Amino acid sequence: MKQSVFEEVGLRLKIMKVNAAFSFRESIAYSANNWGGLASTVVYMITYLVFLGAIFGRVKTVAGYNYSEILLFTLVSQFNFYLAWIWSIKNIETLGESVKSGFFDLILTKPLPTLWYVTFLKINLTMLLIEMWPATLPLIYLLVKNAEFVISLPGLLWGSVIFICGHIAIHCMQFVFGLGAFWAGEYKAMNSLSYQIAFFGDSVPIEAYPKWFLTLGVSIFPFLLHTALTTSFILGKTTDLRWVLWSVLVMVVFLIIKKKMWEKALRAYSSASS
Amino acid sequence: MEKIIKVVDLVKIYEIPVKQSFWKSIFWSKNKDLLAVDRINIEIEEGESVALLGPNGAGKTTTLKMLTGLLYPTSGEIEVLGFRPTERRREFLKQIALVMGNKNSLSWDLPARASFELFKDIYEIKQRDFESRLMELSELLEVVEFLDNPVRKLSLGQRLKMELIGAILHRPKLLFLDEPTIGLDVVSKRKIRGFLRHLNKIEKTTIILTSHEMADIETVSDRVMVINGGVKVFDDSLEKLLHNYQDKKYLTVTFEKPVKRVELEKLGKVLSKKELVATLEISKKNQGKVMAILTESYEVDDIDVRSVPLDEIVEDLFGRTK
Repeated sequence: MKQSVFEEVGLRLKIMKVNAAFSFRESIAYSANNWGGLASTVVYMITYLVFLGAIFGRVKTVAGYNYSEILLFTLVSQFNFYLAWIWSIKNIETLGESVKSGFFDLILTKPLPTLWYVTFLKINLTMLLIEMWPATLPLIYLLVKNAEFVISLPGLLWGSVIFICGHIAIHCMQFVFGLGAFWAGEYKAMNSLSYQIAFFGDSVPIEAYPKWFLTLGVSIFPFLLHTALTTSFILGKTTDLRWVLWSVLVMVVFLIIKKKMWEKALRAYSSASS
Repeated sequence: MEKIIKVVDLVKIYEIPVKQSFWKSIFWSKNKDLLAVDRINIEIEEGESVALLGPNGAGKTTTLKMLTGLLYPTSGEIEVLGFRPTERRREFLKQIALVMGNKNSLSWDLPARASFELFKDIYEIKQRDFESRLMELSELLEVVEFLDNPVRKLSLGQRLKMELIGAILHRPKLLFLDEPTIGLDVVSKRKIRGFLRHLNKIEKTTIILTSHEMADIETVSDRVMVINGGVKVFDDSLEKLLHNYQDKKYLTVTFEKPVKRVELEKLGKVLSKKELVATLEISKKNQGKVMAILTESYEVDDIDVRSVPLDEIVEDLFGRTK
């Protein structure tokens, strides 16, 4: 019996809702863990803001970005970072671990759209509520206090589209790296490599890169879309709308690659011995 | 009865790494083929309870995993409940369940009830049905008072009972069990065996079981399929398997005074001999004669006659079909 598109969409939304609620219950089972997570992110944020303050105490701009623009760049990179940890990275790790341990057997035998299920198995709302906002508040405060830029509505709109496309594309790239577990039985080194690539573009604005590196960062390894190109669009430094179309195209291509590689991975799955 | 599993010429070949030099193995591993399942044919009817038996590495778990759609066969055809398992159709997966004795599907940090509620949503079980089914199953398995304890605080037996409950909340037609009593104490094993029998006889759930515990097979299964070296070497009722070995009997004799081994060897094959106790293997037709000689010629305190135990039958079968 073929289900309608609406039923399929409804099922997927329900999976997200149920998994989010279940992950939330799991995450509050260890309260000390949440306090530890909050402390580490706040310490990181403060350290990074001190570092930025020290740099911009000596120079006026970095790659054409002044202090307040770099703060905005940092805010976008933080959104990308937290969003990736809220739904993407933890699930890629969980998938690798479940393939290695054989727990994946018990996921595969559930009547679910498996790719969707493993993509949204853990949705860490605790990180969103307890870690992300408190840790980002000092940054937002400094940004509001030092804002010296004007954001146009189209810039914000197109920047948001690029952010979403870039975020999904980089998730797909990391996911494909993580699928190595189906062939090799191990995943940690590949996940670590994909993590380094994914956040490579989070430290320097897009304008700082040479052309060949820029080409690489918006295509095969799309690490420059989610933060660098997004911020450039929001600030009006890049306005060519072909970049928006390109970002959508990259996202679609990576979604297709993810789906195809998933099918291949399932065929290669050998299931850990019991 | 309707056939719910049809398997034709099933073959599974794994690629396993070959031992290589240090540098080669670091950068590029080389594989070789391992034939795990070799042209197996299976037909199982609705309501049957079938045990897959075999030594470690015989191919029984691989077969079970192909039947559930976890593994793609290298060649051959599989039809389960009218579906091709690897297509993983939702209508198919809603009718099956898999329990693996050494793998947990329940969240470690939350009470089992929380995982059951997740399964309720996954299998779209109505709240009222869910509540009554959960109560029924947890009462049968005597774990009602542990439903709200975190899974990590449960004993192995309680955890496995919870795994079973989670697997059958949605009343699957077909239940696959991979070593469901592994590591359990005798009381928990007996409880779970009884429960599985109940599922098969009362709820008419078809059961496919792999286990190294002969008592699991004797209690739960009616039909035995022996797989050795990837090949099916026996497929019939448990009675038939036992019947094939019925011409042999084991006599354990307790004497009041020590008896020489050479004297006992005249009566049958001496399997063990201690000072006052000896076990003899004799043919069934000689049973009366041997017992008469023993009681007339020696001072006998006790004689225990038993058939060949299932584990020895299986061991013999494994050895003969290697």
